[in-house]
Amino acid sequence: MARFVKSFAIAMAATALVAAGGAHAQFYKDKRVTMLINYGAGGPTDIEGRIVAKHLPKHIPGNPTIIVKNMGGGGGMIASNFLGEVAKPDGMTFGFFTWNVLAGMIGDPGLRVGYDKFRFIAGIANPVVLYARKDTPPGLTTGADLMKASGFKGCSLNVRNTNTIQQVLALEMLGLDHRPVPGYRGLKAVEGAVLKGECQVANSSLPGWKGSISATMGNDVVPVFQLVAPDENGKIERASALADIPTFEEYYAMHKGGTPSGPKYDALRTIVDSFMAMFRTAFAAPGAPEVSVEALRTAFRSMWKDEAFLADYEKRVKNRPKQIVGEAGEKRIAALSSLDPALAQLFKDYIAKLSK
Amino acid sequence: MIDALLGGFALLFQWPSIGFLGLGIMLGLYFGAVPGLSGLVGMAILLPFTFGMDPVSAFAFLLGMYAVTTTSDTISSVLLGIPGTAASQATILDGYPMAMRGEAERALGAAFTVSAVGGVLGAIVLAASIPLVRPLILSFASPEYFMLGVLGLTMVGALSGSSMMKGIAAAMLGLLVSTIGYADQIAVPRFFFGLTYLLDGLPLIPVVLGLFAVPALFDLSRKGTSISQVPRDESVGGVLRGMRDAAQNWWLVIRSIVIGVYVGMLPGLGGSIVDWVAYGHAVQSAKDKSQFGKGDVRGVIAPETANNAMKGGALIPTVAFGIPGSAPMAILLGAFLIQGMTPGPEMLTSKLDITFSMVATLIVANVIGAAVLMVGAKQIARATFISGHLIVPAVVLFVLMGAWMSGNNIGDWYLLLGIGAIGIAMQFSGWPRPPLVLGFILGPIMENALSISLRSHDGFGFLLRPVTLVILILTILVIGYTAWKQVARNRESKAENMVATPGGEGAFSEPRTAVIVDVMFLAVFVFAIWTASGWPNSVAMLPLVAAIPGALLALGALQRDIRLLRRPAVTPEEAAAADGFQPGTALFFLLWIAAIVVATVLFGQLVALPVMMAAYLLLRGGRGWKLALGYGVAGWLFLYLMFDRVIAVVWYPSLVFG
Repeated sequence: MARFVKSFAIAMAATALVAAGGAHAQFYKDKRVTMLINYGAGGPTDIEGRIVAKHLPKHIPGNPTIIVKNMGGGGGMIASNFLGEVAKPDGMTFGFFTWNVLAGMIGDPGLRVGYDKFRFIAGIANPVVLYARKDTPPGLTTGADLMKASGFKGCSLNVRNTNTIQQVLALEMLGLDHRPVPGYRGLKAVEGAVLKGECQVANSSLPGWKGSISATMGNDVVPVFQLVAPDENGKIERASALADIPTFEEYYAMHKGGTPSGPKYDALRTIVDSFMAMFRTAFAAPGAPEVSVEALRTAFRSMWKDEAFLADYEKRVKNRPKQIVGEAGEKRIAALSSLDPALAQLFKDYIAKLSK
Repeated sequence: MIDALLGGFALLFQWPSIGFLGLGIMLGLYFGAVPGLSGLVGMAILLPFTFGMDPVSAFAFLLGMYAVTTTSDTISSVLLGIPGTAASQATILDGYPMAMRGEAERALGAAFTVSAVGGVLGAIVLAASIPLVRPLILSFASPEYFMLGVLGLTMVGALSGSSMMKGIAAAMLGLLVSTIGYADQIAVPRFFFGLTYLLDGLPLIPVVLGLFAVPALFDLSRKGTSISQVPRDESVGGVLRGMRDAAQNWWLVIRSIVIGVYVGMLPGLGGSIVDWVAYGHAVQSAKDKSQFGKGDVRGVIAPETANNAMKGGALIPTVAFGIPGSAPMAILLGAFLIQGMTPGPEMLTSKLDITFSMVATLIVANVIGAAVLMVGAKQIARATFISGHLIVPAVVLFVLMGAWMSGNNIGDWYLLLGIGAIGIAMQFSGWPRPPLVLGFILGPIMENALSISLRSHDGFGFLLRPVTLVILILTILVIGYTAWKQVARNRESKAENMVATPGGEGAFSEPRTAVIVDVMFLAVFVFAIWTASGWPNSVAMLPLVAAIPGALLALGALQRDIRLLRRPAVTPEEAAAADGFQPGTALFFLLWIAAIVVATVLFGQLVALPVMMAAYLLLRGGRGWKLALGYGVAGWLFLYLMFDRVIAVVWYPSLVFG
């Protein structure tokens, strides 16, 4: 009898699996799926999205066609608002975004649909490198020498961007006397400003650092530290592509002693743990069918083992992708919606201070 | 260096690169000619196709397309008075009046010639500048950008036509409108009235199309005649005459090339101002300015030279530093990523041959593109003799879809409609439109550059930087010269600051409309002052700097127009300038466009546009149902094949069909 029950249970489980797989296979068969990218053509979000769009279909049962559509503007929020409010929640549209985590945290009026309302599919991690000009007085040979500098200028994107807030927080925590110069219209403008000596310090994502800055300004700048999200065990380790650059925590320990803590560090970690862990994110529309969300999550997991995709990605982004899929990502996003009000206020205060 | 240059040409002339170059050129001619499309749109569409291409083919494809859009964009600017691309706005001012005079062929001949010359020489300057480019780029930072913006604003005098007071006020209005939404350096959105659409500011394309395209189409529709007011057998000045004009104005061509290359080389300024700067320079430097704005061929030569030369200039910082010289160059950087290449030193050393293949692409594409268009110029110019009613529906489709491509947002159509109404009102009330566009484009550049300069260079100490100082002195000289010329002109004219002549921006026409528009703009300025006065200084600065003088000038204009309103009779010149304009007809035209928007909300573009095109031909054009039906079907096919299949545009989710 026990053997019969066990066999029956196994048979039922197998049937369920086959049925689910069958449902997945049917759902996207002969379908046209739209991938919305929230920045314009040619930018890093677009390029990475198109690499994904090229390889993902063969990992989705039914091998649908993926059509990429760019919808830039509003700091990436126009596309996310569209996905949240206008796109049909039928599983046939998903977003590939560089999401605006700060907008969600401070209640930016431009973000009408919170990211916690979307169905998170997958995310690609990306650390950030803070770098400095070698001729920053008194002169830098390595990143450690930045601790001897003072009165330098740190340039960054607009005041409501994580690029600005994370840099200011990190430099203040190190006790460095610097002048923030936010407001540059794009990372290329920031790179230009550093190149021209209009400012001495800036930060950029890994693709920007490896793909552009170190190539065009490698003789003029030094990397200082990297901001990197913890792994699934909560450990903060150097990204494999940036093995020679200390993490912010290592840099802090070297020069200030101990581990960083306090409200500013909590704020910094809030940004890094969410944004850098899932720098690029794939979201399904709120209310999308569960079968479509699962099919896409399974496809992303499978694609991450596809050597053709990994090689294609690495050729262009100069880094092997590190992913987060499914509930793990949803938990991180959900945590932001229950953000400590004091933290949210801290961000708002910084934005107001930098706007003066 | 010579080896690399020859190597670059050799790489380009191999298969499949040469094939992709040819395809790119043909596509570029198309993207430039259709209003609302552009090199930027073309780059975005073609970029994904470069996955899998070799680098030389990929860049030949993209740059071949990009190089020629500012050659073919002349077609729309001259024939329709609608900018084919954002870089061809200034060409309208004299190109369209030439077409109305039956001189479209002459205008096209001159434009295509100087486009080729400008593009080729711009590419050669690019090649020659490679050893010098680093010090050139490094000497222009935020302070220099701010001063260049101020210098650019001095062009307002040259762009104001016959109304300097209203021209400067229009520029202030452009500066004010540019402050809508968030600025990059502050966290307080301005003038957004709780509308998310306005948080990002007003997009350029719908504003430009609204200001120029809608009034031009209204003009065609209300007159019902062909574009040319001169019968075909009486038209003069063919393509060869245009080529002779280009040769005779060789010195203006050289100066325009310099403007194009060096404005293009400065990242962030880009193509949308280079044509205004070149046009303004042509006016300022001309001894006889009387025909500018009324069909002076130099008003075509200068901008068309500069906007092609700019292409070579914009490539310089892109290739040398990975810093895009313009918006299309930002997309070209994506092509570098796709190829796994990195712009920067290696492009000037180990990959110099690929860099020179890009130079070769610009040269060859400009020559071929211009030659193809030159051969077809006579046929193209025949469009000016077709009934306006046959042109209006198709061009409205291009204009609306061009505005749609800007952001896939129905708000852009509302904006187009609203700005279109303002553009018509300005056209018939003596308010010149080009200064408004110039202020709108320069406002964000100047505000951003000033904010960064103040933070980065210890307050106004940045004015003492050598290059900044030179530009400041130049600006003072230009202002002084312009003021002196204006005083001299005033002594010769009968009316204060205004000469009522037919044609040209700012030509006085309908008195009542002028008073209404004056009051409207004065109210806008006063509202802006009242609202901005309660903001922090950093937020209020540009709005107040624009609104206070704008209000004073608008008040002055209102006082003068009220005096003119009280005159007993309209002069023959004013009647000619008014040209039978009735405000009611404008309302009907705008209502037709509004009906298209409403139909789109209900049924979507694929239904609304073809149906409304056919309806126009039946109801306004007086054509039979067969022609109307065929026209509508052709419109649907174009929308489906081009915008749905090729561009994969995001359509509006209509209420009925979803």
